[in-house]
Amino acid sequence: MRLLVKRMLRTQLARPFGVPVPNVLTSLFVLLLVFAGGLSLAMMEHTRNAGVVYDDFYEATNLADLTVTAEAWPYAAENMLAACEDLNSTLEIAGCETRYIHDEKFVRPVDGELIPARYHGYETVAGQFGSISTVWQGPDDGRMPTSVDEVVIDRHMHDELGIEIGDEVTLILMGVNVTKTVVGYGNHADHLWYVADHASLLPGEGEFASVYMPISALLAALGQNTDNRTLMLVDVVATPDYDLLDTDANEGVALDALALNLSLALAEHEVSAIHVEDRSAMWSVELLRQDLEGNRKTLPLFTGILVGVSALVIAISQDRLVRKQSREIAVLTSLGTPPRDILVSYLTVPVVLGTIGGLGAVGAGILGSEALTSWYFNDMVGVPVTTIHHHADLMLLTWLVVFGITVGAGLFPAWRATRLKPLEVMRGASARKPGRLMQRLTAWLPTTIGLGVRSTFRRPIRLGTTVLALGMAMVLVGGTMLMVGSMEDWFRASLGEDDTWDVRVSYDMFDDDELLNWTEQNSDAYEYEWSFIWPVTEVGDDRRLSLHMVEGFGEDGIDSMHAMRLLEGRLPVAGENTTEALIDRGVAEFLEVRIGDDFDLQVTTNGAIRVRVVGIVEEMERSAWVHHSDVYAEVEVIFGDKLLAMDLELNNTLHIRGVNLSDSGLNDINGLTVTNRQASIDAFEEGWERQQGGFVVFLVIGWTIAVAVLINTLMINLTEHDTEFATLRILGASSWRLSGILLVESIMIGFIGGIIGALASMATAFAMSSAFTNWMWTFPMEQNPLIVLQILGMIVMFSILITPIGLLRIWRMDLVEKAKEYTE
Amino acid sequence: MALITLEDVSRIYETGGEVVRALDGVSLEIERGELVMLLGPSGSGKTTLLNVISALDSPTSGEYRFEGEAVPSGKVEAMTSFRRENVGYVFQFFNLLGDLTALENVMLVQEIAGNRDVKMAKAALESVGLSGLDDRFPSEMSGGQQQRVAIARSLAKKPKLLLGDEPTGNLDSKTSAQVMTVLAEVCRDHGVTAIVVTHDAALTKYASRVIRIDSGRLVSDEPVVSRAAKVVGAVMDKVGDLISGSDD
Repeated sequence: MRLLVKRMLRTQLARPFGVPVPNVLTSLFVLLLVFAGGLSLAMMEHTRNAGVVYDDFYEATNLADLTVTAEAWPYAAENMLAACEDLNSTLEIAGCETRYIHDEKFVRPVDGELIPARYHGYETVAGQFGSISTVWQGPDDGRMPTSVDEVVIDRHMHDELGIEIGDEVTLILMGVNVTKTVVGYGNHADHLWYVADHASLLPGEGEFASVYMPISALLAALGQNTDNRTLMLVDVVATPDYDLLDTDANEGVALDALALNLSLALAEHEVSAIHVEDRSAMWSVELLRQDLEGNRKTLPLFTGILVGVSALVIAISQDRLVRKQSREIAVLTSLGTPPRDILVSYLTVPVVLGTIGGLGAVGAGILGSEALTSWYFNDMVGVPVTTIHHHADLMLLTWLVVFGITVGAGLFPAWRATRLKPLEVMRGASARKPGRLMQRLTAWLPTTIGLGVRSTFRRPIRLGTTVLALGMAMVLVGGTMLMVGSMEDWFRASLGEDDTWDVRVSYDMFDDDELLNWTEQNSDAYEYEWSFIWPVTEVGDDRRLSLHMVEGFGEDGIDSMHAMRLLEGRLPVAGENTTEALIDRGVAEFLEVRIGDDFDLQVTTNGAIRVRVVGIVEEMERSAWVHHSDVYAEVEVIFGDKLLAMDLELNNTLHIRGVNLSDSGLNDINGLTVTNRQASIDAFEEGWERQQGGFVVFLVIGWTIAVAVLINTLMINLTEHDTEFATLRILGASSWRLSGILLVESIMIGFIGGIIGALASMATAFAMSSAFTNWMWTFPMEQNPLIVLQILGMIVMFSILITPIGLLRIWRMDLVEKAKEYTE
Repeated sequence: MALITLEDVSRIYETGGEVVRALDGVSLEIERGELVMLLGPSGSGKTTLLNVISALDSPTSGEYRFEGEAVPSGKVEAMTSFRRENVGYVFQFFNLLGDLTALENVMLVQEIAGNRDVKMAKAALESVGLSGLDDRFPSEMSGGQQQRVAIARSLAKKPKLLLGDEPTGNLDSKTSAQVMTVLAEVCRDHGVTAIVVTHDAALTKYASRVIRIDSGRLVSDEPVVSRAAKVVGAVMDKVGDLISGSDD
């Protein structure tokens, strides 16, 4: 037994320069196992750690369970808090806290450019800078502000803009430069995913400022009443579950009831133009949760693929080893070697590979987990993670899976080895009989080409296993390529590549005099489109979408500056009995709304409007679109007497065409949020570039595996061709003619594998997009035929490029030794 | 001019630090149309000699000429080209390609030589007594039939020289006789010179010449005389003895 095992282990060794090292194929298998297992462990640990990081962070910052957001105008803190006191609920309220949130600009220190900013005005509660949804600081991150001249900046600003504690920064508040001193950095749950514009999704470095300051200082700079608030945070004892957006069940029945009660209580205290929402409406919190959920859903798929490919490759190779050694096995059996001993000797290699591979996988996984988690949280999310936990159960699982799959893959070939009949092997009777059908199909071809085709199908099980392994490898590559390609096209379109506005201005409709004056002064110079954008929900649902009340609609950017991407139906007509509306595809899918349906939109707690869906459009955010003239009167009534009494134009967004922002003077007007369309597109390009790194990793991994599978199959096929090729060489066949046979075989394998790979890629892209699709983030998966052809072409190309390896083997063949083998 | 001329050819190997003189100063000439048997014990150098003649291997020293011209030595593609143009080979284990039918195995070699000819391939199979078996795979044929296909394959490109290394080594005696009969007939009919390596002294009757080799050296080189000729020769010797005895 010992000698048999020794013999088997030696078959896996090469001896360059006399030093025994694992041969190329063995090394390849070990690497594949280490890689597959390591990546799986890294992803599993990251996913588990991420969940803990988020939970720990939200607990440490006492993230609010409910938020009350005043969208149109501020309310008195006294009224908001009174509603909190009056709440009657089965859930116990731990506390309520009010805040003022203001969006304006910040002066970027490095170049003086103005960037979008959000200012958080915090109350001091029992000597603390807020007690709900607080700012998290590490031990070296300074302190919270204790005077009106001090601010804390978001950690991203420190990392991206290089602002240090003690630096002076310039805030733009009501158009006035206000200088403050930075006393600390911190992270906020609202800004873990650090973007200014949720619609753009991708973070841009140094493009956004989030500042935390005493509310008194903020209100004073804004000229607001000291009691004005735009946000109330509610902390519920024991942090009850909330309704998750990506499940059908309602996990937060009790919390929903509390939210409803709170709405009613607020209305009684004349706080009505508000939204009461749970954590699912906190954009950053929800995005990260969805991302984690997506990882959890896709992780088993990727793990299964990687491990499956490894198993298939090992099974093919072990099968080949048994066939190659069939004569030796026959001799051993003839000499009386027990089948058990043969089985054990052939299981030795998988056991050794599985053990080494498993240990290597665990090691690689630990390193990968450190790198992945550190990169994700430090670089992407911006939360410093000081301790990255490693989980013994996951490590053990990884080792067991790698070991189990490897041994399992080698079990059948090893069992076959024990079943070989010596006489059949010696007589060659066990040799496979060729197929008559294949012979008839290829008889018309030149014989060398026909031989290449028949060689491909000589072992259909091995061919099937190879293309299956290739297909699985392509799941990573092709799925990623298709999804990324689709995402990129969709992002570009969604960012308004076809739109014709140059600048979009968001403004406070209660403070629009300066803007209106500017438009009047420049009425001949530029073109304008006014609209009102307001967050709404479907009646009875709590998922937020934006209602866009616009002047008109167009698909080409001419009739309207925003080009609607109509998927189904038609554009709305103004003045109909029931207001006509467009909804975006995400709304249609998730809320199950069809063309022709009537759709009720809750504008505020005070009232809703009914619209009829006439078309479905593609938009980045969940939205509904109506003619402004159809609904503005109704909406004004819902907002209540306060708005009606002010006799305002119900608009808060202006699109301008033909303007050059730097020369226009718009930036001099107080209180505007100005978006330059081209700058947005440029920022996207930059952000997209940065994301490519992650995609490239997947592509490299997938192609590496695909090439490894191809090489493995080619090497096995080559060794099986040894006798044939040596015979043909002895008979005078040139290297080029033999390489032609190899080339035909390579192309066939590549072509079949490519088709399977392309199909697998398409299926995977759909699965991946489904896994990551949710209410906040949904995009259509378009199967780009060019990418599919590219996948197919690349596999065929790799197959062809591998052919020279076979040619080299032919050139190096020792015909004299071969001739000796052919005689006894 | 002899077809094959070897002058003082040696082939020396180094194996595990030991020097092996597989061929040691071999000189011989083989004429066109001869069927030569190479006999010798295992390790005598028969196969090495065949390898040198077929340009599978290059001599370490000495000269090898084919039709008066030096045979390429040390250059793989040139040697392959030489074999393609001049040499047919028959192996002990037939070495047919299992995925090809009998006819396709023959046509493959024609393609290699650059002159694929279906009629000729069929004629080659017919000449070895295998007409009607064009469509059979090697696994569907007996050993003798496979070897005959191998012979047809080797002759299909009209080589000047046919080499066989133990072509009957894997066959029973009856089949061996059939195969050798076919081999001898087709070589004669096609005017092909043949050199066959064998252990089996019984096969020498098919040859026109027998060369014995041992330890890399030629031990003997004799024409083969037919049995009838042997009987006539023996009778003549006896008569001669009687005549010379009666005079006394």
